[in-house]
Amino acid sequence: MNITEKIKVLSSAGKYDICASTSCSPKKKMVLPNDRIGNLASGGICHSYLPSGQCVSLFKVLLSNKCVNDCFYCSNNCTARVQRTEFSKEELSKTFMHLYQANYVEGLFLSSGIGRDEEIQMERMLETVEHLRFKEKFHGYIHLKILPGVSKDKIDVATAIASRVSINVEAPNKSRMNELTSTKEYKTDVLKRMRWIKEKAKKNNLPSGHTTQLVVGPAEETDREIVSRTDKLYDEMDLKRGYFSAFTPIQGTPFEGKQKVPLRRENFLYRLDFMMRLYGIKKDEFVFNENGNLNLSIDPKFAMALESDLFPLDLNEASFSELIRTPGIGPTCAKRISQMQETGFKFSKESELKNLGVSLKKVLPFIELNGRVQKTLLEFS
Amino acid sequence: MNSKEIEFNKRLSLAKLHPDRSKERIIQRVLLQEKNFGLDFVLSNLSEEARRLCSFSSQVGMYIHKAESFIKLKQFKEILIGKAFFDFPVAKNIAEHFVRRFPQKKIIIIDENSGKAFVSEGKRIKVHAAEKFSDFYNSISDSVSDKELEKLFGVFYDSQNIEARRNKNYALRMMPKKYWKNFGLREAQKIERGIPKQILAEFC
Ligand code: SF4
Repeated sequence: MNITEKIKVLSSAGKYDICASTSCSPKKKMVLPNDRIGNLASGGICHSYLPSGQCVSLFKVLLSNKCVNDCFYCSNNCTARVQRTEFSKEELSKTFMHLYQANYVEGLFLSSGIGRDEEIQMERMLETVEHLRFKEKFHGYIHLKILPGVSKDKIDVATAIASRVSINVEAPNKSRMNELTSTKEYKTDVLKRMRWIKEKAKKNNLPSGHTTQLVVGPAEETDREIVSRTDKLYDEMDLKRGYFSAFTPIQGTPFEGKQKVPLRRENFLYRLDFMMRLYGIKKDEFVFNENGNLNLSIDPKFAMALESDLFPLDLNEASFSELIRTPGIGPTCAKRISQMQETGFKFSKESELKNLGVSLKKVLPFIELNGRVQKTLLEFS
Repeated sequence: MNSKEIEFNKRLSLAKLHPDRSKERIIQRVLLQEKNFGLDFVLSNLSEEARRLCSFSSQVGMYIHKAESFIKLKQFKEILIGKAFFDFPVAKNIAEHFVRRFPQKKIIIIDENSGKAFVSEGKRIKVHAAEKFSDFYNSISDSVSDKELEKLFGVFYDSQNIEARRNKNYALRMMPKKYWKNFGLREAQKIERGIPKQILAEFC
């Protein structure tokens, strides 16, 4: 197989892994050598967009699509009849460096099937990254997947040479995981490894932290379960970000007959995730239906506001945490309003809020301005 | 300087690159407001002028960000060269970005709009007339290795598409057509092919 054919197979096999961000907070006072190639950008950069609207920023490939595991949703699972191949470290490094220097991609996302043995395969992945770092002198972004079940030593090396690492939890708990595979053990293969990642990431000062991914839908798990797990991971594992991937059935896998999960569900889970991470809102405030799922016909923040007795809110008196819970006010606007409150400024006109960047249509039913509150939600229709 | 002053200075310097004719007047007014009411007032965009200044600066900032992302570089020995029609005078910023990224290479960014080429000499950028660099750029563009790389990326790009996630509205929103013409993107044509003409016409 030539390089082009390998790219076709191994990039396609890795496309379901999510790696949205390429930004990082560089290590303080990091002095970069002059004979290097590449650097880390502080803001996420997208080099092109797919017909799905998703950004293509990283050269996303598997080192190998050989795998002894049987994850029922995955196109690389051991029962799938697909062409199997692998890159050598030289092939992959050379191809990547050409694409990077031509500014087609912002970095590398390297994952892999686990081959016959996760330890051996992880070693091969590390050798590839070391080749890039030390032979090619590449100092840009590398997101390295940690294979489930690998040793602590491998995680130590990975967190010392990558920009970001991740291990996929895939499911919110052990019983849901058992619906997805018979070969991965949730607590030992995944959670225990994530704990090691947390420890080693801290020790090695991993610049972009560690992340994880959950497949949404195939194990019939609820949104409440997903949110609880993510919240716990942020709390206990110093997780930088959780990613959600709405399940899409893939032909030739045991789950090929399952229903596709609506993208809106994934989108709403991201909104909750943002509210937890950036707004500091606790998971118990979210509104789920009796089955533990989100109502997909109503925006989650709006649903929360309707249930809350916080409103109508006096903007001139409201705290940051109250502002952030108001539909139409995001973190930037909440910060701006708080800043103005500190100067003694009193908001009295809609135009002032508009200039600030507040969405009037969404906010007016929930605030009091000059003693007036908009009585209806008609503007939402 | 504290973080608010840094933020304000950044806004001013980016807004100065905006082609809008009223920008000088707006900048003067915002400076006056800053003097009278303080930094918080102008940074919160409370006045119409402050909001416009912020809008100018974020337009230019976004443009630089997109240009850094979409411009493709051709490689010849130790030279990396790129060409684009820049709507804003940001080619120097783009050259600086690549100098930081590839300190060992010579960076050349050609701005077809201004007819200038921004060429690195060490960490500094010098401005030249674009003509001779354009000829050089065209000669590399025809090389076999450049075409091969483009093909290789095309294969990778195609492999990333998940048909079940196709979402033309999102795709169009993420990459408005004005960028397609500026950066001659291969993938833009692909998106265009997948969308009925009348929808494109409505959007662009
Ligand atoms: S471990 Fe599971 S998810 Fe990963 S490649 Fe193998 S089958 Fe796919």
